[in-house]
Amino acid sequence: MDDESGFDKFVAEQADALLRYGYVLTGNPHDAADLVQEALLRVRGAWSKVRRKDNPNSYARITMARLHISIWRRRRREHLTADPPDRAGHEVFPFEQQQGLWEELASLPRRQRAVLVLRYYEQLTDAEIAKVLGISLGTVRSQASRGLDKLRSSLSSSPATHGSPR
Amino acid sequence: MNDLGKELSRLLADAAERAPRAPAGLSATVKARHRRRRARSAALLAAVAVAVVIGGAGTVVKTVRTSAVPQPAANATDKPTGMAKPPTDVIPPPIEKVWPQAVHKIPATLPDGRDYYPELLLDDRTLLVTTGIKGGKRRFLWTYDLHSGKPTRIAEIPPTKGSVSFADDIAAGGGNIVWWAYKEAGENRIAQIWTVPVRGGTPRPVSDVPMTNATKQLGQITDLTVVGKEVIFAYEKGGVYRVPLSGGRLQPVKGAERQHILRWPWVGTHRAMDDFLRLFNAETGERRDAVAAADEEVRCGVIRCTGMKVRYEKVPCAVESCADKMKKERVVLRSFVRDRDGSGERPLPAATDLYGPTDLALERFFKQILRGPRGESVMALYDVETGRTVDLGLRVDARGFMSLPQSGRDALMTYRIGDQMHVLDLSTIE
Repeated sequence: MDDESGFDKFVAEQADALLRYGYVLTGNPHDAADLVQEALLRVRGAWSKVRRKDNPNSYARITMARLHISIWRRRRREHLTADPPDRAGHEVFPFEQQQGLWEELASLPRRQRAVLVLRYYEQLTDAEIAKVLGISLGTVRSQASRGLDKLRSSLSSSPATHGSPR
Repeated sequence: MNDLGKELSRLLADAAERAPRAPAGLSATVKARHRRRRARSAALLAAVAVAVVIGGAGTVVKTVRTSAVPQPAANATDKPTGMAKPPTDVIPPPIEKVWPQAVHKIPATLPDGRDYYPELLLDDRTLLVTTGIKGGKRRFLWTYDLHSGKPTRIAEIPPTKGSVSFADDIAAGGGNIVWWAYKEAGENRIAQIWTVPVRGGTPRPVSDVPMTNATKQLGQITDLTVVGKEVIFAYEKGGVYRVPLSGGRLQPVKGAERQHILRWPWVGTHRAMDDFLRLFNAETGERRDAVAAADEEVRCGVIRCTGMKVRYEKVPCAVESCADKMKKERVVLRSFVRDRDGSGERPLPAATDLYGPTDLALERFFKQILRGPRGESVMALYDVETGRTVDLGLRVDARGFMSLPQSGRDALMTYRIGDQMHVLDLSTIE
């Protein structure tokens, strides 16, 4: 089927990039895989419309961002069958300073984190972020500044993150 | 951009490079799940399982081999109680031998030849099912008498014109069945809760449920529950509401404005690392907090929690470019199951991680894939209460498929073998 092969091609081309995006949004590989799979499911469900009218890639990314801030969760009686998550050795950064920032990022509320990821990873403007997350421009700005404040204050209060480790 | 902004940009770009790679067969997995979600077809689940059984054969086998053994305790004070030592690669006895009272086998197709999806146990001998997508567009509710194997058609589910989704989250209580559906195809603005008596009849709408308010999306309806003459549900984004079965206005449940329903009247929140740690009884106001240490990631039911103890260790960086540096590593010391008050802790077979630690049927039973003597995968069920494991009888078939047992938080677990549906009532296991 055309529909099917078009979707296959989309997944083949974009899945890795979506996983990268999912990973910076969620902060862990397991949730990233879940989020990507759920978003792709929704893309698949809307495929004929998405393919005609929208850019499937941006549709998937918007879906991921929105799902992530919506405390999305698996529906009852469904099981994810992706590869089992690697539970051990979940280090991300070789350097303490980066690792520290990464962990502080993990402690932010989802919406604050999403705003920062859209701003600093997706490089979107605040107006674009507002559109993606379906929130007001004012909220984007307040969430971003609150998130940055928290990161700044937790970083400055943590001696381990000063200077390069030797 | 300020300094922190620059640092964040660099950090996120670096982190992205450490993201997992897309597994082979992702598209097929998604398409299969899509079909299944649309059709809610238990049968189609087999196609999803291929991703694990064929696509990821190496991974599954490796995981099972290395993790079916309980993990060592972190130190001497972390001794397990020793009562629940799960098996390694020994194939356990079949469930029919160990818990015969829990197993019912009924035909996997309805008298009209259509397939069906088991939904819930209405009582100890009645299974509610909905017709599958194969064999016609009209959808029906049927009940199966588990003792006689006799099916009875009780109602037709009114379709939402043009919509591919239908009756979601079927629940029952007090002689009534309820579900929800979108009111208009392609519009997820308004949902509608429906009901029909268990004894049969014509379904009628109970109430419209807005899926957005003035400022935001509220998400879909989840955790649908019937209590007496009321329907209670939570929004996907949190917030518990009630509405009389006879119809009327939605009323927020006091104190549960941001909560989800674990098992009525217990409500709470769930986040990535702590699921239902704090519970609130929406009827009596009682609070019940679970015991969890700062270095534990815990997910809870009403009586029991599962979780992992983790430690961050500094280890030398192995990559050449940072060979003289230290890095942090998250080490899972052990995974466990215990009561909410922290008592009765015992180790969890790590192989259950295949489905994630939340997949605990009746707060008690975990699915496990074991590896048989000839390297074959064997679907087993592990009981954390007695420490027993049984063989569910599911094997990989000639095409390389293995279906996964379907279960939720309740006592029902179902799976199809050949032309028989195996229906387990886990509440009968002592």
